[in-house]
Order: sequence, then C-alpha cells, then structure tokens
Amino acid sequence: MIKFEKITKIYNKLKVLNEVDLNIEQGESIAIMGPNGSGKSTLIKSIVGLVKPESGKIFINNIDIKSTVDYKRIIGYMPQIGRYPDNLTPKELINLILKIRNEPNISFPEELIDTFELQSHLNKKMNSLSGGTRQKVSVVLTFMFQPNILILDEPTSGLDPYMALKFIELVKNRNQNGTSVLLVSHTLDEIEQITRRIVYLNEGIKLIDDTVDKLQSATHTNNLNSAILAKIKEVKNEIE
Amino acid sequence: MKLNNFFNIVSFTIKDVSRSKWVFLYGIIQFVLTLLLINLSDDTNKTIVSLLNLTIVLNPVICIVFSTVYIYNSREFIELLIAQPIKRNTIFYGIYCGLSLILSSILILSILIPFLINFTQDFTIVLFLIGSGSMITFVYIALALAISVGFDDKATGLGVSILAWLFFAVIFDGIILLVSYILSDYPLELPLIITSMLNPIDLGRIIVMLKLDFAALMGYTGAVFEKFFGSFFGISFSLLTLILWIIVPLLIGSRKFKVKNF
Repeated sequence: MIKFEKITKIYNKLKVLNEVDLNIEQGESIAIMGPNGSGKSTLIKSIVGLVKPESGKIFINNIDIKSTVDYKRIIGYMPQIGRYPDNLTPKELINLILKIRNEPNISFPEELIDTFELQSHLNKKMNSLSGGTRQKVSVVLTFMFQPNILILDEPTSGLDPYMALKFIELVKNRNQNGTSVLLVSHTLDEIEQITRRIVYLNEGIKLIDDTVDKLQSATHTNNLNSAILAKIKEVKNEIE
Repeated sequence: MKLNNFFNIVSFTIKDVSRSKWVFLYGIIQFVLTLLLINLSDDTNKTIVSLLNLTIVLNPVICIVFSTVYIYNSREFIELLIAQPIKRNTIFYGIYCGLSLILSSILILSILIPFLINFTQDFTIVLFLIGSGSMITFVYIALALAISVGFDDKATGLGVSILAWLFFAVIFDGIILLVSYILSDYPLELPLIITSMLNPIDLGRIIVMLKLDFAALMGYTGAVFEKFFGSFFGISFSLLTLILWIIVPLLIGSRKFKVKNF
C-alpha cells in the first residue's frame, strides 16, 4: 500500500533520512520510533508532501506520489501541533476542509464532534481554545473522511487522559476495519495498544523493522521497552 | 490549479484577516488621518500630496510586516492544507490573493469614505491615489510572501521584511540623491529612470505626482520621468513596472513554496 524506496532527506548537509526502504501493507499498524532528530516526523511528512526528499520514491497503491496530489484523498494526517488561524472557528475550518475535499458522501462530522465533546466549542474563535481542544479539532479533521491511511504525529500529546483513551479506541477501531496506521510516538503504552510493528530510526537509518511479537520473542521479554533496547544494542553491535 | 479550491482559500484568508484587531486598527488609523488631512486643507491636490506621503510610508510597512507575521503564524494551517489533495500553487496564490484583497480593500475604504463624506469634486486624483496605494499593497504582500517562504526562522524573516521596507522607503532615495550629487556633471537621466524602476515606492509616488502635474514635488527621479515620458507614458510605464514588481516576487515565492519543507 505504501512503499518507500531509498528515501534520502538532507537538511543543512545533515542526512536526516538515509536511503530508507519501507513497505506498509493495507491494514497494518506501525509505530515509527527513535530519538529526537532521528527522522521520524520527516519520514511521515514525506508521505503527505510536507517534506520533499532529495532522492528516492514513495508509492501509494503503486502510484508515485510526485505525479499527483489526488492520492491524499485516502490519507488522514494529524500533525503534532494543532494550531489553526486565530480568528476562525472550528466549524469554519471543518467546513473549509470539507469544501476542499469535496467528497460526495461525507457530511459535517457530528458524531466525531460529539465523541470528542467539541459541540460547545464549534463557534468559538481558535485563539480562545486550549491546546487540548485544538488537538481535538485536529482529530476531527483527520478522521472525518474515513481515510484508508492514518498518519499520526504524536497525536495524544495535547489530549487529556480520558480523551487520549477515546482517541486510541478510535484508531484501534479504524485499524480493525482495514485502515493502515502510521504512528510517531514516544509513549510506549500508546504504541503497544495501537501498533503491531515497530520501525526504529536512528540518525536517519532504519535500525529495527519487526513485529512486536517477534521483537519480544527474540529478546525473551514481554516488556516492549526492554525488547527495543535489547534489539538496538544487538543491531549496533552487528554494525560495529 | 482547481479554481474552487483557490476561491475557498481566498475567502477563508479574507475571513480570517478581516477579523484581526490589527487590521481593524490599521483601517481606523488610515481613516482618521485621511479625514484629518481633508479637513486641514481646502485644496484636494494638497491633501492628496500629504496623503500620498502617508500612504507610501505607512501602507507598505503595515502590509509587509502583517503579511510576514501572518505567513509564519499560519505555518500549521498551511501544513494542514498541503496534507489535502490540493496543489501547493493553489495554496500560495490563494493566500496571496486573500491577503492582498482584504488589505487593499481596507486601504481603499479608509481613503475613499472620508472623501465621499466631504463631497470631494475632483475624484480622478483620489482614484489615482487609491490605485497607486493598492498596487503598492500588492507589491509588498508579494515581497512578504517571498521573504517568509524563503526564511524558516520567523525573526530573520521579519527582520528582512522590515529591512526591505526601510531600504525602499528611506535608504534607496538617499543613495540616489548622493549618487546624483556626486555625478552631477554627467547626464544621468537614463540611469535615473532605470534606477527608479527598482523602487516600487518611487513608482507609486510617480504615478500620482504625474497625474497631479506637480513636477517640483516629484523629486529628481519623478521630474526626469515627466521630462522623458510625459504624463501618460510615464504613468503607463510606472504601472507596468509595478506589475512586474508584483509578478517577480510572486514567481520567486511560489517556486520556493513548491519545494519548501514543512
């Protein structure tokens, strides 16, 4: 479904992504992990065209993403920070995105708005909303088109624990219905709940690409954190 | 470029900017100052000259600073738009047109209404002032977009924007004056015409001054312009050059925007 072919991205002479190859099948849920500056966000941003790689190709359903923008119709992208124009309301923003996408079967997402308790905030200006509420607006904007691919960049960072749980349930539910999920997160609990495959990047290089089950059995531990650390150590030793 | 999406972004930007308290304040200040200047003098031409200097100094700095800050503050919103099935050019030109239309409308209304209230007879020159001011608005917003797309750091971008305004509003004329003084023994008409094309503020001023026929008030470049071209060709030439001043930064900005990493 999504195929990265030797993706390289350079910022100020620094290789943020170094010939990364990755295949993601329909319905898979993958966590992209790694230390700060390892290229996680750069990798997922390159799918939606926010980052332009220096070399390599990305295919979505066998279509080279450089050739069109229409492939974005099947993608829901949730950024790390939900900061939107100060003087507009969530309702106006949702309507704008609805107009831009112009999907015939999609109407105003009342159900999502109810789930994330946004009803009373719909007509308030963005600059009067808290960071958490703006993040809920991001959730609605990401999920309202029933996308086939969900790209989530630290999605629960501004959400309160109750809303974070609701969010995780929503993602799991969509994933069970066949939506592919790419999650960038530092929260292991969230990763364990949502994803079944771990991709670990370090200095732009893919160090780990394995399922959670395989990682845990290979390292003889049920603790994901310990499993990842053990695997990193193993891979680094192999490289050296 | 899908026109529907382009118009959606234009109208969204207009809606957002029109609700900004800073834009409202700008409109009020321009309105009050215009009203004051009209009531201080009975001669429309004198009012226009005073207003021209005000418009040419105040309007560009407000447009360039406001638009630069607007683009930096809209970064996440632009990211949201790029993640939609919409071309980057549509986003870039949509935001540009939205900003230009709302800021030039505020300029037009804040100058036009006071003249209408005072039943001004000679409206042609008022229209020239408004036209010239609007063109400068379009130029400075184009410059702001090119600068803010070109520099990732907000403080740097804002600094460059202010410097661009300062250069064209103050430093440029100083340099021209100095060079003219030093090289006064040489024929400088043609070089001066060419250099005046390099300053949008000068061009805006020349358009109104040529219409007013105030050669003495035009400054050296303006006087040379009138002598060289006459009023009609001078105005047309200035107007065409101003259009180039809009197109060139826009093309540079849109090319950078197409490959920019967010």
